[in-house]
Amino acid sequence: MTQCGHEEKNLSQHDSSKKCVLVVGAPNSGKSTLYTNLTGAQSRTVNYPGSTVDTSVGVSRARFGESLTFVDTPGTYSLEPKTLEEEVTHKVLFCEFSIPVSRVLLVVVDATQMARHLLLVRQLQSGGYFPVVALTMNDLLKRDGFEIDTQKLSKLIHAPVLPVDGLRGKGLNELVQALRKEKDRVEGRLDRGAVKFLALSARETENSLNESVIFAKESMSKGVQLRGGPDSRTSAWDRWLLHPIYGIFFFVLVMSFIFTSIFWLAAPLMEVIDGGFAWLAGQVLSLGGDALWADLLANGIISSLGAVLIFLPQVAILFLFIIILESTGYLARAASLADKPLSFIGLNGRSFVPLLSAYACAIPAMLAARTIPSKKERFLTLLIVPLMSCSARLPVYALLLAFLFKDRPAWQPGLALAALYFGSLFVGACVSWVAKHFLEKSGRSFFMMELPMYRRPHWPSIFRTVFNRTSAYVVNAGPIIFLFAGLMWAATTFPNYEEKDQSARLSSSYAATAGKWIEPIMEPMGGDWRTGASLIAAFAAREVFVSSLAITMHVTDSGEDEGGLQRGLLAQMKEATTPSGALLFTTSSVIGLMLFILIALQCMATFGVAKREFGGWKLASVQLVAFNFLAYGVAVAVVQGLRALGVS
Amino acid sequence: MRLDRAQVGFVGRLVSLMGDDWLTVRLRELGFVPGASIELQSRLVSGEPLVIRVGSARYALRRVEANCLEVEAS
Repeated sequence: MTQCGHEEKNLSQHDSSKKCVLVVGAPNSGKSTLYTNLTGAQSRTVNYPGSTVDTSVGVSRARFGESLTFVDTPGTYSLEPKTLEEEVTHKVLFCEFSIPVSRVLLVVVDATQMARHLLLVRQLQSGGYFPVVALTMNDLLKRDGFEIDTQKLSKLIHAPVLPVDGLRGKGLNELVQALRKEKDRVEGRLDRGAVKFLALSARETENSLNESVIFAKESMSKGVQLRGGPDSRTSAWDRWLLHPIYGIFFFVLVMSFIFTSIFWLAAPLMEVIDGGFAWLAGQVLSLGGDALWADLLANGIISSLGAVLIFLPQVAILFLFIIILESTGYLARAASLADKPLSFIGLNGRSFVPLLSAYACAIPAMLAARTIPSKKERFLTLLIVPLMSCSARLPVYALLLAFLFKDRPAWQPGLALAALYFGSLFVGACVSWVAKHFLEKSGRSFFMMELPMYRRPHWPSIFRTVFNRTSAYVVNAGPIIFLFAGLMWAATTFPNYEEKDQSARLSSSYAATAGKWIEPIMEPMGGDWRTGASLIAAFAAREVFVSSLAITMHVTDSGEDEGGLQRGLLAQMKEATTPSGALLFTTSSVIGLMLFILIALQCMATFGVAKREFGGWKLASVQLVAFNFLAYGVAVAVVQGLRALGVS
Repeated sequence: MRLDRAQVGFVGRLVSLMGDDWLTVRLRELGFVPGASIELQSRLVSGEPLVIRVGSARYALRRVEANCLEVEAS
């Protein structure tokens, strides 16, 4: 891992009141929960210069008195970085950073894993930092009859130790007081010199750990031995959930449940949103008559707002399940079960979480890939993440499947959708398998997944996280989708906006003129300028395809707003013809469109993140170009093949 | 004996760590230090990863990772 070279920095040049307190801790230590409870929702993300991982900065809540600024760092097992995430923590601690940091920092230690987590405290101390220890997960220890004498522990490790309950917010006041006290003490008197990273030798690590084990034992009350550990329940659960047969069965069951519920749970909500926006657009149109503003408001703004919000239920539901799995401890087990199969296509069990998240959205998925230690495995994961069927593709599939399976029993489109989802996994696996032969061999792949104790989900904090992630998603993706939908409206309305006849207005519009240019390219896959223009607009975000198609086919204007936008659009699609008079949407052309959507990388937001995560334009551009060519090639081959076989 | 050769249910102590630094350094940081109590709780499908308890922590390790751990039964 690259480091900054000298690994030393001077902390004394800043005003003490401006210095932030770093929050450091191992993964699964309860650090993020504690940080969220200390700062509330108001925090902003900061990029460490030259790196790709965000750190979060937040001010302590008002009820803790005079404000204290905290900087959350990615979870790390030690100060010697092994992954991109750990590297950021290392750099924030020991290299120049835009935010002045205090020599006093907050270290989160899981009481059930004390010996191991104290290693980090001691590494920080030897580097010149003054840690204040927040001891989490005390409730788990107490449940099994153990208790920690924090005063004794504090004396042993020469640092203040405070028990906290991050989830329920207990002990936080005392923690903030202790941090302030320690800050005054340290910064007032001996804030001289620099902090410096000292790498530990194998022997030093062993000694430090063995000493920590002794500390942990001595500070445990009741004199109960640490051996065996207070985790018999977790072992019992794991006997079933990690069983070679039942474990797989449960895994498949959980995943199937999640994916089916994305549909049946979200469907009613989506219908409400869809119907609501169609009704609103209809009201505006009947109010404004032929006025341009009414057209802009109804067909431009309201329809595109609907296009942004319609897939929100699905994103939120998938986030909800991922967070539940994460907070209960099952996600680490799922990743372990997936390690072996994923290793065949060049990936790591740690790729499982990014790939699963990719079914909601590729952007958080790419960020989640930062926990993969091997560069090659991380790159392969980043490569195939955009191939997973993200929720933005769903409105498109929903429309096209509804067209293809009109008046058929509901299980048929359901099955076809499942096939598309498995298809995306299959294409991703093939791409990864091919690409692994092109990437440089790197032997440094490790898994070593910590399996945390099973915990009961704490619903308030789960819902808060779902809300945060979902709203961050809307804030990031929303404006682009909105902008392009607006542009699309303008392109289909101008220059002859005064023309009363809609089809005449549309066919002389800028969009039609531009669309005619690409029509020859669209023809082999059974499209025309309208599908072509919609596919291009979909590069803003895939779901824009639906709203663009609705705009190019002028759906809301037809007055069919009773059954929502989709029904009106379906009716128009059925009658649409190509310039030569043949039907535009046929079985083969719709299948071709779906395959194109499945493979193509049509998302500028993803491209932007890919550039950052790959660390440059080159690989991100290769990915963008290659997937789109592949998508076009596959779509043309399938459409032509089907037509040769006599499928219309 | 190396831990990857052990039977499920094995309980013992870690004697030493062998193998490449980039594996053993992280293993040490995770709590795999000589003297630590170790239990092989299960193997997943196709034999790996192995579910290993060390002290009060639990990890899923690949076969090559478990191969770095020299253990003796207690």
